[in-house]
Amino acid sequence: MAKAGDQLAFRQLVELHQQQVRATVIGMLGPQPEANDVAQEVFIRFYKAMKSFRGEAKLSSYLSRIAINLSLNELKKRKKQQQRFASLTPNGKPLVIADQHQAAEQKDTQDMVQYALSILEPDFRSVVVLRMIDGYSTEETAKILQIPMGTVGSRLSRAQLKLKEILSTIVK
Amino acid sequence: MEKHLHQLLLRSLDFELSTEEATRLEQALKNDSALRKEQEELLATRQLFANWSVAEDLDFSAGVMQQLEGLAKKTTESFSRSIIRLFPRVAAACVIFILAFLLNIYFVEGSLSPEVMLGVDNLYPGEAELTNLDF
Repeated sequence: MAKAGDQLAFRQLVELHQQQVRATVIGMLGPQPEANDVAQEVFIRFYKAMKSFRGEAKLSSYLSRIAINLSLNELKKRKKQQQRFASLTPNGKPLVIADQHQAAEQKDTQDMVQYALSILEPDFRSVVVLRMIDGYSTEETAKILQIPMGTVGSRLSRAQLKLKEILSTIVK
Repeated sequence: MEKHLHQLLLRSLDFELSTEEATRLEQALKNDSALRKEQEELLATRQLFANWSVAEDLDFSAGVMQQLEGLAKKTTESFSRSIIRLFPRVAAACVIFILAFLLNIYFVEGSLSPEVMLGVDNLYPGEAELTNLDF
């Protein structure tokens, strides 16, 4: 129905999938204001591409793929901006911006998980978000990220050890 | 804790182990308390992530729909804007085409009279009748 352009049906679709998409994007970007914009952009992109969606993949997987791709683009954009900022400082050193690293001091488990995620490299973070937060199987994660299952496995193993170390105060 | 057993433990969290591997891991977990502790910690870490969630945003879907409406409006606006932008060019092209057409007629026929324009300057009613009779 949403494919036929029914606005109400599309709104229902958004309501049904928004939490999962927001979790993916916030997991990737952190609870920044632009995370919500990126999450909304996921649905806008889907709306535009709806005619070409053949229904071969699960809708949730399709949305997750868009969410991960847009989040990775946003991270690249951030990195570029930070580099530009760094080049503008008098000594060429990057400016220290108050960010998720400070969240380490917060004892809240949710914040700690968010902090632990922010420490990981984007490639590792995307695997963790899809597999451990969104609950996709290893095979589905590999399909969404278009990487071999072995790569998913090795990234998960390495990420998990790092996460366990970061979260050791809570886990033990 | 042996390294290969640790690897096996990590792999067991995301992949299906063969019967032989599963038995080996089970046996190792029974005998190795460090490995058991590691498994508990890994599972606890997993649980933390599985329980992690984002706060609900009640305005989210309304925001998406608003953006879509804006998008549709923008598409219509840009369509009419591009038509307005294209109109002078299309009009100029039409004028050039008509002028070229008239010039062609003038040079070939030597006149721009209505008969010449309609291509009936050499046609007489009597001839037209004869032509019809031939059929």
